[in-house]
Amino acid sequence: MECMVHYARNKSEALMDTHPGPDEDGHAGWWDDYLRPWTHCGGLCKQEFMGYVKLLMGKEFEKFTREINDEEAEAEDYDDEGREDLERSTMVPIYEGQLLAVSQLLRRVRPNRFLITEGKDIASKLIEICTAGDENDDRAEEYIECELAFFTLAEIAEIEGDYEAAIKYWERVRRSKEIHPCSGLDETISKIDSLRAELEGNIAEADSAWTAPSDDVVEAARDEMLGYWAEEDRHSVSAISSELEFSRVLTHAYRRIEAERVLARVLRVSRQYHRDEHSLTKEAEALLRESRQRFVLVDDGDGAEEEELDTYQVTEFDEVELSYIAHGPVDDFDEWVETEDNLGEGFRLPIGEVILPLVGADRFHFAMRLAPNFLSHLCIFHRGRPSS
Amino acid sequence: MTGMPGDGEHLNGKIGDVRKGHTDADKYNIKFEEQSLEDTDVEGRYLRVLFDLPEEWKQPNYEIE
Repeated sequence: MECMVHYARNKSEALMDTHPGPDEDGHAGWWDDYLRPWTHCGGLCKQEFMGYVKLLMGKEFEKFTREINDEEAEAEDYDDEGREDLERSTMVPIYEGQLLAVSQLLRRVRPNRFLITEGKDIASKLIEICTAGDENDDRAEEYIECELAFFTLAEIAEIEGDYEAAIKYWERVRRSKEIHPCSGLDETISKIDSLRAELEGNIAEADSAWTAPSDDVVEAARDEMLGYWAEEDRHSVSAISSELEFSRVLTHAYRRIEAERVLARVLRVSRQYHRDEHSLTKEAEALLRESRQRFVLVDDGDGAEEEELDTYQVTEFDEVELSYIAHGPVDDFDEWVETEDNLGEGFRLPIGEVILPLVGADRFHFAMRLAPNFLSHLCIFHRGRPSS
Repeated sequence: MTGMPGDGEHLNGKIGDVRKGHTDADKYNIKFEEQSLEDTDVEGRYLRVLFDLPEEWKQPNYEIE
């Protein structure tokens, strides 16, 4: 990838050195020559980039264009409005190209967290630049330029099972097609109708109990990951994404130890091949950090009522006092952050007061160690290593 | 009883996931990482929350590297 980007930058810079722009000296096909190194293979095959390569080259082209824009704005002493015009005229087609790559990939390969994150990020940037941040302002002519962004966001929302968001974005696609009549309006309306029906069905089933993925589902996720390892490099974006997905399935199946081990490995590989700043590395880091938090329940009453159980994060166990060091209570997992305030000194929680987390409560962590004969002088407890 | 007694003594120090809880009896069903060990119901007092995973247990059907 580095080699391809290096080649594309050199070709584009060389063109600008000899022919500064499309209007400078009538150089026919200037834009084609300028763009081609970023969209087509510079080797013998000359084929158009596809899939992840197309997306990643599009992102590199965005970086390159931003550098060129900065140089131009500096040289021409553009004011804020001039800079915005330049940004808009150059970035809109780049974002559209990236979204097309994402959209094609979402159809061609199994959707993964990398594609979903990239799709949301690029779509947000396109909407921001076209509507000055007000995506609800459908009076603006620029609204129709966001259609591809709304389309991608709608597809992603469907993949994530968020039908309300999907309907919201499909409505915006519909509105765009009404403002600027083109094909696909009827299909969009049908899509919205079917999603509404689906959503109503889901609400009706909302009370039904959620069940953990079966062993078959876990094995299918494992097979898919192993398939990527066989077909591609172990460190490819697809392979790592499938491994992250496998860790999620394991977590939902309450196989937390295996999930944590998978995450530790995938983080190591992603760091090695894609570096710390890559979105996959960051995602693996966040998932692993979350998976290493340990929570327990404490009976605040007589234990008869579920609401009398409080949740605490525990960070260590004192073998002498036979107590955990606890922090909390944790009212809301989604808002619980390991800050200095939350993880201060903590307090001791004797083991007799702790109710270990049970299956069925998401984000509880079930990794346990069977205690050694801690009161027996015949048994020595080696922390961090199972006894033989 | 000061630890897993008698037949359960060989389980001391092993790690696993809690799959089911029996709160009335303060017992938990444990699925061990070592596949050769059968699922076992264990009283809460014999369990500790595991903070650091020990060296990896190689699953026979899962070649990682």
